[in-house]
Amino acid sequence: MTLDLEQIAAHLPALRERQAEAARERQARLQAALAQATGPLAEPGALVARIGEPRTSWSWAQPLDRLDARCRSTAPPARYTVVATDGSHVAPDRHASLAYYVVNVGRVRLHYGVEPSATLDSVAVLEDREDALMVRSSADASAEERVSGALLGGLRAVRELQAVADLAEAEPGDWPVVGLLDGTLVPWALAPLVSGTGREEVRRMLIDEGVVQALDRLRAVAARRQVVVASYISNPNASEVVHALRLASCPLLDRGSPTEGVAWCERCPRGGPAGGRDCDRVGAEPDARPFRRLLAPGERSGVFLRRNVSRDAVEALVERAGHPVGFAYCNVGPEVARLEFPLWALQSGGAADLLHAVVQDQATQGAGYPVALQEAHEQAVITAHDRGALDGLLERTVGAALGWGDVGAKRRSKLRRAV
Amino acid sequence: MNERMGEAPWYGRVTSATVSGFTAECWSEDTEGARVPRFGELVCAVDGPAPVYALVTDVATGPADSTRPVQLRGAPGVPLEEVHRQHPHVLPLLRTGFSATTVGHGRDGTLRPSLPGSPPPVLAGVRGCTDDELAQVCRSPDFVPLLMLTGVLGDQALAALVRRAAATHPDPSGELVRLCREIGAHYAGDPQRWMTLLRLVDPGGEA
Repeated sequence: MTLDLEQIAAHLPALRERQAEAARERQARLQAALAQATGPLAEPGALVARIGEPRTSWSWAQPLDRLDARCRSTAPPARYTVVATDGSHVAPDRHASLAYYVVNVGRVRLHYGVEPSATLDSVAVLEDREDALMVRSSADASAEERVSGALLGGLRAVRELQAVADLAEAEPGDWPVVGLLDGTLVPWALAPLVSGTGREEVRRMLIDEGVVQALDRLRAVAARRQVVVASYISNPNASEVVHALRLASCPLLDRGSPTEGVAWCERCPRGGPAGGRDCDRVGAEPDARPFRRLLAPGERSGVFLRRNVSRDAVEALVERAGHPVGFAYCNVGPEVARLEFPLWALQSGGAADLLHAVVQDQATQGAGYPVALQEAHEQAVITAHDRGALDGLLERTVGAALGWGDVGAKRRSKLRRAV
Repeated sequence: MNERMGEAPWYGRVTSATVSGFTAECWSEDTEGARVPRFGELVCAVDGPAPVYALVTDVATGPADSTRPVQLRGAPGVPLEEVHRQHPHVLPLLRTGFSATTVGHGRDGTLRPSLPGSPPPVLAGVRGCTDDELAQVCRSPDFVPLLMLTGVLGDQALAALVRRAAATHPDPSGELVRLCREIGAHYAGDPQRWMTLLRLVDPGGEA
């Protein structure tokens, strides 16, 4: 063991005291946040009326229902289908002889009702073509982006959404269909990759012909049958609702000039590295903490919209293409989960109840996490063993024929693991 | 009429093998023409240098991924069909397979009651056997010592084989007596075990 636990143990008494104090503080903040969320600000429109147009770097939540709305889940319909996808990938390895990546999308179709059935499979794609490994701008010859890291993760997320659209389109019958994805509905982390000049090809590939086109297809299916699509975020870390409560408690709102009653974080009277801001009093981040107290098991919150999103953010691009994204929290029992969905998906009668009923049932079956997503993950996962088998297959079938040179010394040392 | 007089059913493909036996995985339930063999049934791995005949000495079903045990589902008293209806994803994640002990192999068009020179290849197809093949295997049961090594499962499988061989013979009682006499010679050193096997073969005591 290279980590000397005795060195760590010496810090534990102080850590324990700090954490006990932090827990007391968190509890006080939670109580204050709950009091605010269930008070006069809970009325429809009251929170936005109070906050106005804040000047802050925080994203914050606009409630479309009562802030403290609680909706109980109903029973799922007699017959319905859940489709779910999840993905994994093998990123290009610069130490390997061949530059390639693999995206593997696990797909699950579970049909419940009179004739229950299940289909579980995965679709794997290997790309080694130069134009697939590198995205080049048509406007700037020097602007190019290697497909790895966040870009490959974004590409994978797009494939997952496209796979849900494929499954929804292929679904026979006329029963309701619920599509589920893991994580955020659209890959927010792509923002730096799709904004600015020289990024138009990435934007086209991932947003215009990726996320937007897949959502367009899903909306087209939803026009002829009941289809609800949502992403499920377990143990969510987002804090837009708490940010809204913070902004509503800003003391600047109650002052006159020079800020004219605007929550303005750059002019925070108690800002700075030392902390102690007035809004910390209700700083019960993340959102899941207050909703764990507000919602009983089996209940969901009202719908929220994310506000103060940068014009270049992925979410804004998708919204401008006709797919504004809303979110809600669900207490599924073991945890509070966050659902993100295109708002159009909930516009048909009973769609929100359908989504909630199916998510609750799925989570109950899966001991707190939707069983369809569990199985999609299992179909998608690429283990170290799989990765080794893939390397061996490529080496035997392609490398031997083409006489690939030796792999890099670093990779060779990792493969040998000799003392 | 014996159902296996017609086309022999397909049971699965070999997943690992030695010359003395193999394991095979069955196709899923919805695969056309595929079935699961019965314990004690004679099967044949058809691919490879020689067809390998083996007796099914165990049939097992469980999760395809051994790292993911099946969770308990369904309250007490809920019928199995209802549990499957509520959890349709479980069945596709299960696998059924079987183990078989070699009892002979084919060479030059005849069935020899000895071990093959090499195991059947992995992914060799495994089918059921015809009554004629069953009769050929049982003509000279020299494979018994190998089955005896597999213990209780081998004895139980052997008993099932003998019952089936006798039942499909034109003279069932005579064949039962002949087989028991020939097999009994191998159990001469363990009369207790032989009596147990006899009771398994013939609970009525005719043999």
